[in-house]
Amino acid sequence: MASQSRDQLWEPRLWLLQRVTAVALALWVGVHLITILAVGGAGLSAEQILGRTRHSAVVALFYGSFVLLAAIHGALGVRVLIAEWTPWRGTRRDGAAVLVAVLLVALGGRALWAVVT
Amino acid sequence: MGGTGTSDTIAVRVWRGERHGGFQSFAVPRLANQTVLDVLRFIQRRLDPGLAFRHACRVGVCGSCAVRVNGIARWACRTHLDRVVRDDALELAPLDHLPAVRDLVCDLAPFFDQWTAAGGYFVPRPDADGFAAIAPESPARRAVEAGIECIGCGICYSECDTVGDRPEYLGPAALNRAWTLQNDTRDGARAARLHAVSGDAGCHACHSRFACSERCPKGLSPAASIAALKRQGVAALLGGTR
Ligand code: FES
Repeated sequence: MASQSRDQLWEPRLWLLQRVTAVALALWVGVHLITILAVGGAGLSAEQILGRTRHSAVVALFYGSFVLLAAIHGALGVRVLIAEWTPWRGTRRDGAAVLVAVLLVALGGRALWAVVT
Repeated sequence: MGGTGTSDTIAVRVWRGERHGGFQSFAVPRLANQTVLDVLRFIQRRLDPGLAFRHACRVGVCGSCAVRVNGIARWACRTHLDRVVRDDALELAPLDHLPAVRDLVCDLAPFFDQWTAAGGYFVPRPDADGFAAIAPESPARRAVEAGIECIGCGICYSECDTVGDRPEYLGPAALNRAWTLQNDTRDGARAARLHAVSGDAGCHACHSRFACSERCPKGLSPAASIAALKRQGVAALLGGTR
């Protein structure tokens, strides 16, 4: 029973984080879709929608956490794929996954910034 | 079902050579109740004594006869042609994800090395004293029962895409064995074993695609055992017992 302590401590934690973010994302995506359908049904114009999202703490909080959840979940998934599709392991693989997370936060953050400010 | 049942011979394509080889065709008479192993033995006895394949018990106990039949890993001795022959043709190849030795024989060392790496062996408790009394109906014994009949044939290992993608992955059979031991109340290495299966290429690398459970000739579910190991890992994490 070989020991590689760092992995053994981290893998179950990352796996749990992946599962928890998956459950949260299911809820967030649900709310997001219902919102889209409701807004579409109400026939609001882009200007009217932006009028409601600007300076809205609810929108900022909901979509801010959405971006974070997606970034964590997506990066963890990519981390698994890196191990399966590339020879990268250890720091190189983890670094690449962190980069994906940062990229997702940046992209999502920019979109969020555009609708709340 | 399956075969046309009209022809009295079948065209059997058998992998010859090592990693770089090719299929060789043989015409084999079709008989009632014929198994894939019968076909291989016929070829070896009558057509080409040089054909290499493994078998021993011929009754689904030893786990040595696994080959890929029309692309799917199966036990040769208990696979009836009626179930697998299509258009009077059959294709036999060695198991996937294992080094080729010759013809249908592969080297199973990597497969069994993973069992060792996963702690897939019994470690008596230091306080073990004489015979342990295990109630057959106890939940732990029933959990062991679900996975204990593994014959080590390597079919799950051959069918698992994650093994193909990551050769260092411990694989379904080793993890299934680890899970039966995690439920063995006589075992004294459960914390160490949970540690051993929680590495980078341990149980968390499984995508729950269930190919192992789908193909296990003994009807076991290694995927369920792996999921249970993940849950046990989380329980240990949250319980702070790691
Ligand atoms: S020959 Fe023993 S399992 Fe097939």
